Parts: sequence; structure tokens; C-alpha cells
Amino acid sequence: MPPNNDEIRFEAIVRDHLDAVLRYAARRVPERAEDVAAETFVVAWRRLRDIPGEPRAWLLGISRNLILNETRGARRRLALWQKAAHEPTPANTLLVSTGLDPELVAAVLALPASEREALLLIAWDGLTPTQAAEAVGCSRAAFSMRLSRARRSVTAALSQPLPLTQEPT
Amino acid sequence: MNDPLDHRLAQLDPAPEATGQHVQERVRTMIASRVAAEPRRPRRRVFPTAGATAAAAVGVGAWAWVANRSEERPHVVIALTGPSISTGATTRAGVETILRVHPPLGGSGDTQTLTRDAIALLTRRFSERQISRRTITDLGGGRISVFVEGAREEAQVEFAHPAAEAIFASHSFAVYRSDQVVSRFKTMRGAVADAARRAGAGPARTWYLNFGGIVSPAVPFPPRISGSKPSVLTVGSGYVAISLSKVVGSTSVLEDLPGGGIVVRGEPALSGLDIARVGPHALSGRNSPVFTPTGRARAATLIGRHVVLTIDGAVVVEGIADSIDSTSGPLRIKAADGSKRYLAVYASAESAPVSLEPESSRVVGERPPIAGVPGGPGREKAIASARRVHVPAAFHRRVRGAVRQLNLSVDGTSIAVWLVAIETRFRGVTSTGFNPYLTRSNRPEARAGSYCELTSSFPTLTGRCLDTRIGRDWLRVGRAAPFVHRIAATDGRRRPLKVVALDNGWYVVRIADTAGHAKVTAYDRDNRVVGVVSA
Repeated sequence: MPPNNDEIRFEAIVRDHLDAVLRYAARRVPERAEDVAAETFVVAWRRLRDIPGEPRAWLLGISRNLILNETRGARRRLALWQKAAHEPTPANTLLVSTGLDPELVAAVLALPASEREALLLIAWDGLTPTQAAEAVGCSRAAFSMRLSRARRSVTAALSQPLPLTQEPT
Repeated sequence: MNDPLDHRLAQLDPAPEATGQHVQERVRTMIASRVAAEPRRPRRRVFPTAGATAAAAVGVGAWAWVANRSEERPHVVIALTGPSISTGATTRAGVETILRVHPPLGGSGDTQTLTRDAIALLTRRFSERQISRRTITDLGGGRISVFVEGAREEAQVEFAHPAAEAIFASHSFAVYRSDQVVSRFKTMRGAVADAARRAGAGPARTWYLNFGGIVSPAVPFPPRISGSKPSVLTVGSGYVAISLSKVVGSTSVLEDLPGGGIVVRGEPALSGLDIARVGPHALSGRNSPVFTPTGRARAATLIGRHVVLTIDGAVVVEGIADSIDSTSGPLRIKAADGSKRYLAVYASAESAPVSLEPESSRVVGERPPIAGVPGGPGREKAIASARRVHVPAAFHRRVRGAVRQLNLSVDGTSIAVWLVAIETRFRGVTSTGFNPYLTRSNRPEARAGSYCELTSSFPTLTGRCLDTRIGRDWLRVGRAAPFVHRIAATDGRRRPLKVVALDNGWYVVRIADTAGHAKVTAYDRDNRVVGVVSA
């Protein structure tokens, strides 16, 4: 049976955006990046009609929600783990483990989660503010505000380093 | 990536390189296996009508629109009938849930309202049944699409019940010019387009209806109206009026009245008034008829001019506007016999009713403290400045119980015409029906000369009730429809809240200790749930 239009379109979406989704997940949950990416595209298949013409931000938004859903369930366990281990979260570990620019890492970790996400969507995932706003599900204006605050906080902190252990959520 | 900080952050990227081919292949395999396990995408099926019979015939269930004509004021209920749309789970036979949607009158705006309410209800029902991965899409034109994973069909429900059609068919929108009907339209959109064209705005200026032309007491403030878009000047007890002035560079104004009629003004003579607002509730006592120039500056343009307000041709106010009572306060009209009347003014873009009142009206109540009132300083200012809020007794009696035409003219030029449908009452219960939205105001019934409070259509419990007669901390739920037999309320911890049925048909709920959450449920005589609202 030849592929229908939906299948052709879906295949094109997977081909064009699989890497971006994989990297997005790998930056946040490296141990589950492949699962998240696969699940993201399964959702995309189910909601093929909802996918906008430029699907990248939409896909990253799905990935983000999947990660958040998983994280929400694991938060209690994570808190217990953190309490027992006195260690930062895996996400922090990821940043800290780079061993690069500890001052910058500290400044980024000190940001509220939403502002940190705004900063990293631009810097890491290369989205435009409009795309990033779509990915996180807020307005462009709100996203710009988060981004602006994040940049301002980080810039200010770079001349006044913050401790590494803080992780406001 | 133009910010230097972004470049520095990019150095920390844990995944800077493209993922390897083998990783991508592995994920592709996972996707392929998962997608293959997915059920085939359901085909779309359209029901020309959504009656229960049609739904049962196709075996997937549907939402039926039922028009209850037993009341004087037509309304629409939405009812779930037949088997559920869900994944094989069946619901009880017969009507499961009824949501009163009101007001039913109107055009495209009401269609949007109905659709929105239907979606809200569907969402709630699905949520209760823990059906996952639902998709409810507003298709526009009064249609919604419901897709439930696992169901074999996708039901696209078109709200085309003949009774609903009859309601809409019985209503039309008129465009007025100098007190003369110049055109009539089936839809508000058509009327607005025509009015805008006549006002010189051109058809391109009518786009605002796409996002702002929603007029219903049940609809909260339309979101995302700002900037260069037309401004919403009044929300009040749910009515939304939109000023086109920012768009067309004039004072073209229109208003959709839930009870019927539309105000469209775009004449040069309108420069003194930005907007006007009259609703059926206003004339039945909940609020006063309101004229809303945007503040003192607008009102001042009328000073020295001959102002006449008539109701069905009978003069209610006539005289020379000689002063403004206070900052942003009512415009004082001095009649020929020396008596004074007030043509009142809105203080700001926020709704703050100022009534048309005879000078002899006494100020029954001063504004209570407004601590805790949401909305910020602007709203507080608006409330504080609207100190004189009365229901003019004579005016009240004169217009109650019928459809009236109000006309406001300045220097002999008619600048505004309203057609106002007055809600009628019987046995203490109005045909307004059960209001599915909680309102902050707890005014049980504003009687002539009594203190009138702002109402809010925001479904929120934040803030305290402002009424001084029955005390604070009471939430007005609304009047109950005739089929509502009992109302119960619980707080966020499912503890029962005290509910009092007032003899005028209103229900009020004590919310003193609810921490901002309450769920109100209405039951019929058979103890079936006929309405649920939570906030």
C-alpha cells in the first residue's frame, strides 16, 4: 500500500526535525532523550492535523511537556534523593559537569526555571523568541520578558558570582 | 544568538553536535513501531444535526441542542444524550448534564459563546471521566469537533438544531443613523461591517470581531485586546462594548446588546461620547443605564449643549449640560424649569457605572472599602470615582418589562439609539436562568434607589463581596432557572458551604473561609445535576 499524504508529511517531519528534538531532550534529560523524542513524534502522528507549517517549536513544546509530565511524577522521588544525597538535580549536574565557565553555570542555575528555560531555548536550541514562546506555551511578550530578565540576572551575576548549590524551581 | 551571552552559553551546550546516525535510526525504529500500533486515524463524520435521534442512529452519541421555549425569554440548553462519545463507556440514559447558555440572543458573538461553553462542558465531562488525549476543536460557525482516542468515529457536531436556528432567525441587528434604521442584518458581523462602511472605516476595519466581538454576560473579558486594536471600554456585568476610535480615528462605537439591538455611532456629533452601554440587567435593577464617555474630558465636550434622552419617545432627561458633578462624574443637565438631572459618566476604561438619576435621588450607600478587590489601582480608581450609583426609581419603573427604545440626542442630533429588551420576572424567578459563572458582586436585588454594585463576569472568587446589605463574604451565584430545585456548594476541601436561597430567586453562597475556591452544583427535582460551576 503506498503511503498516503499523512504518512508522507509525517515522514518529512521526522526527517527534518528528529535531530532537533533529540538534542533538545538530550540537553535536559540525557538518559531518556531517545524515549522522549520517540514519544514526541508519536504525539505528532496522533495530532498530525494540529502541527503548524513550521513544526519545530511545536515539537519542542511537546517534548517539553513530556519531560515536565515525567518530571512531575518523579519530583517526590527526586526531592527525597536530593535530600539524601545533598546533591543538585540531574539538570544541574548536567550543567555543572561541563566543567566550563563555573561562574556562568552558577549564574544560570540561580535563575528561576522559567527564565533559565527561556535563556537556553535561545542559546542552545537556536529558536527565535517567537518560536521559543510557542514551545513554552506563552506569549511572545511574556517570553521576551523572561528572556530579558534572565539575561539581566545572569549578566549582573557574572560580576558577582552566586553559589552553585542554589536551584530555585 | 545575537547576544554575547548566548555565545558564551552555547559553550555549555551538552549536545552541541548533531546526534549520530545510529541514534537517529534507533529512534526512528521506536517511532515506527509506536506509530504502527496506533489505531487508524478516524475518519471525519459530519452530522448535519446533532439531535439525540440522529446521534443514536449513528451510534456514537452526540450533543444535542434543545431549545426550551417555555420561558418568555428563549434560551438554549446543551444536553448530553445517548451513549457517550467516550471509549465505549456508556452514560446514563437521558439527560446527563444541562448547561444553560445565556443569553441566547445575538449573532456570531453568541455562536462563539455557545461554542465556547459547549467546549468547556465537554472538557469538564471528559475530565471527570478521565478520558485522555481528547481533542476538542472549535471549527467556527457554531461547530465543534470532538475526537477521542479509541473511538471509531470522530463526531463533528454542528449546532443546527431547528430551535436554535429559530432563535437566531428571530433576531436581527439593525444599523441606525439619526434614529432611522438604515439596514438590518442577520448577524452582528454584517451589521458591523455595514456600520463601519457607513462610518468611513471601510470593510477592512471590521476584523476586530474575530477576536473581540463576543458579547455575553457569561463571557469573561475577551483576552488579548490591546495596543492598536480596538479597546474594550466596559465589561461590567458581562457586556462588552468596543470602541473603534483607535482604529478608524473617529468615535465610531458599537455595542451588541444581549437583549437585542446594536449601537453604532460614527457621526461627527459623537465626538463627545465614546461609548454607551445599556443592558437588560441595567434596566431591571442590577445596574443603571450607563453612558460612558471616557472620563471628564469627554463629558466636558457636552457642556453647553442641549441634551435629550428619550425612552420610546418620552423625554426622560432634557436640558443644557452645564457642568460635571465631580471628576469623571455625572454630567449635570439643567432643565428649563431649573431642575437638575445627571447624565452619568464612566470614569475610566474599567466599568464603573454612573447612572442616569434625578437630582433628588439620595445616595444610599457609599462605596465600602475596596481592599482586596482585584483589578489593581485602575479599577480601584474607577470604583472610587463612581460614587453616585443609583437606580433611578422613575426610570426603572418606566422601562421595566418591555422592549424600549432609548435615544440620546445632542443639539437635536440623534447620536445613540438603543433597543433594550427588559427581562421579565415571574414568581420571583427570572428567565435569566442559572448563571453558570460566579460573580463577585453579591447584590441580591438592586431595588429602586438602592445601592448598586459593580458586577464582574470574571469567574473568580478572589476579592470580597462589596455589598453592605447582606454582609461581606457572600458570593452571588445567580438566579436559578425554573428547573433548578436545589443548589449546593462546597469549598476546595469539599466541605459544604452555606447556601441561602433568597426570596427573589437569587442564591448566595458564603465564601468567607474558602480560600478562593468553590464549586456550586445545581440539582433538579429528581436530584440530578443540572449545572456545575467551580471557581
